[in-house]
Amino acid sequence: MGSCTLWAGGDHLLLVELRGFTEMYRRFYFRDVQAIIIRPTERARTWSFLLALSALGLAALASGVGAGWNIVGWILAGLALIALIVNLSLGRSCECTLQTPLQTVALRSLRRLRRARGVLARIRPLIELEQGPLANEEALVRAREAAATGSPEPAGIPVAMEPAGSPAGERPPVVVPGGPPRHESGRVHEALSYVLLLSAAVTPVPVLYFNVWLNAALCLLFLGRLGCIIAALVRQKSSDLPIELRRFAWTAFGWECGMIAAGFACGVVVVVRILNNGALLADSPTPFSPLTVMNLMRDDPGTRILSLLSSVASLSLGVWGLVLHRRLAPSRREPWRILPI
Amino acid sequence: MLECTACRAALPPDVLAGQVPARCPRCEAWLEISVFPALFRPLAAGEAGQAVLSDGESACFYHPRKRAVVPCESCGRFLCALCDVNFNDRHTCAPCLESARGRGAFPALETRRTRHDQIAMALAIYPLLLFIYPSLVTAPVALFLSIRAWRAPGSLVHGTKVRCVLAMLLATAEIVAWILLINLFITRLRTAR
Repeated sequence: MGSCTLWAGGDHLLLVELRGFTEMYRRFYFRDVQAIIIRPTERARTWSFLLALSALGLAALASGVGAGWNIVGWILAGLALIALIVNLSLGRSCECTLQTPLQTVALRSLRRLRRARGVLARIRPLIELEQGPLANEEALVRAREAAATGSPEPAGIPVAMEPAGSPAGERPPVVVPGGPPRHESGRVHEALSYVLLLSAAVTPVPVLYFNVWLNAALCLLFLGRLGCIIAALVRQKSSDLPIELRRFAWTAFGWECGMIAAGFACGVVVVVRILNNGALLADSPTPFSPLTVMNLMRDDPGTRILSLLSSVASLSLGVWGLVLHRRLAPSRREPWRILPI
Repeated sequence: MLECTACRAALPPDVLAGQVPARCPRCEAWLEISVFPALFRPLAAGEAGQAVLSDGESACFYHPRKRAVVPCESCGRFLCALCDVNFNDRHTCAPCLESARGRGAFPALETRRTRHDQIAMALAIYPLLLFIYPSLVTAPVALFLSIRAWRAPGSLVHGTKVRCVLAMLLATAEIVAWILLINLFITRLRTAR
């Protein structure tokens, strides 16, 4: 819980983070600012997607339930729609990072591209007033020079501050944060593709034929798919996996989340309809049991459409993942090595 | 040098050559990079301090073998070039700077402040939103804190006392309401007897 705001002073920027009831301050003097990097992200689009899905789901729920309760549904759907409109009007999301000689800090108050660009346009003259202007060509030449000669280091460390045991002039090795990227073969992504293809084949089966064991197998398949997605996301973090395969894993994750939400909304609508129809009343010919509910859900046209949609999406995703893996992964596999005898 | 904010890989100098936004060669993330001259400026060198050459020379309090160059403006101790901290055009030693920071003598060194006005406001409002009864205790506490927060250093960026005033008014109203309620209860109890 907390907020983050950025303030411009006479000679520095002040980042104020409110954590609980304590304000934390960080100052960045204009003379020390080395770079400001803005990276557009997909966070706002993901939120838009989720909010649109919520609005649609709630609207479907409101239209499904009886009079009285539908007002709550419509109000919630309206709120989701307002949040969606606000999110869209704020524009694309981004991450803004400020770099000084001693630290690199994410400016959490600048999370929208338009706003970040506006703030940068406002503080650039202040920074240039302290440091002087730097043309792009000059920056390129100086960056190449710095890369050729090594990055600028402190001109000297006082002798009194050196460790007692280290000889003069000798420095400890510099440890680069993060280090080199980890090698990742993409096998988990391949497994995820196969699981998606299996899901595509199995998901429409309950529409035609249904029993408890099949339902249990489908649950296991769902858990396996979820596990594969999580494993793929974990494995690709800080690895050298190509961006296309990373996108595939994230798309599968987004699709899974969307399907869970849609399935939940659809289930609620169906259950409300069943209750309204009086199919599960005490004097009903069909006694109440989870299996009865599942059977009734199976007959619902919304559930059938969702199953088919899920199957088609699984097939598309699975094929996409396999094609990507075939195209990108073979060259990435480590060659066989002769073991020393 | 520069590194990609998505994958933390070092960016080659050529990312500054192309169009804006540039693309990270490793993770292919789009980056809008603005660089300033400080990126290519080496850090200022620290001074080690010179050794004492003759017996008559004054030495640093913390390094007796180093020549003193300036006295601390807070404690008066002699300091060598290494121990001299030039901050806000004042020459001080590190312990004096640390104690001054602890006392809040240098606002530019403050890294945190507690928002007493927000605590008072929360104590005045949250019990009303959740349950009414805790306000019997929290209202006097909120009033005390808002009076205390009036003189305490507030936020560095929000100089207003609006929260203090609102907390005072709310807490006072809650206390008055409780007094009236208790009075009503006692009166009813007496009339019932």
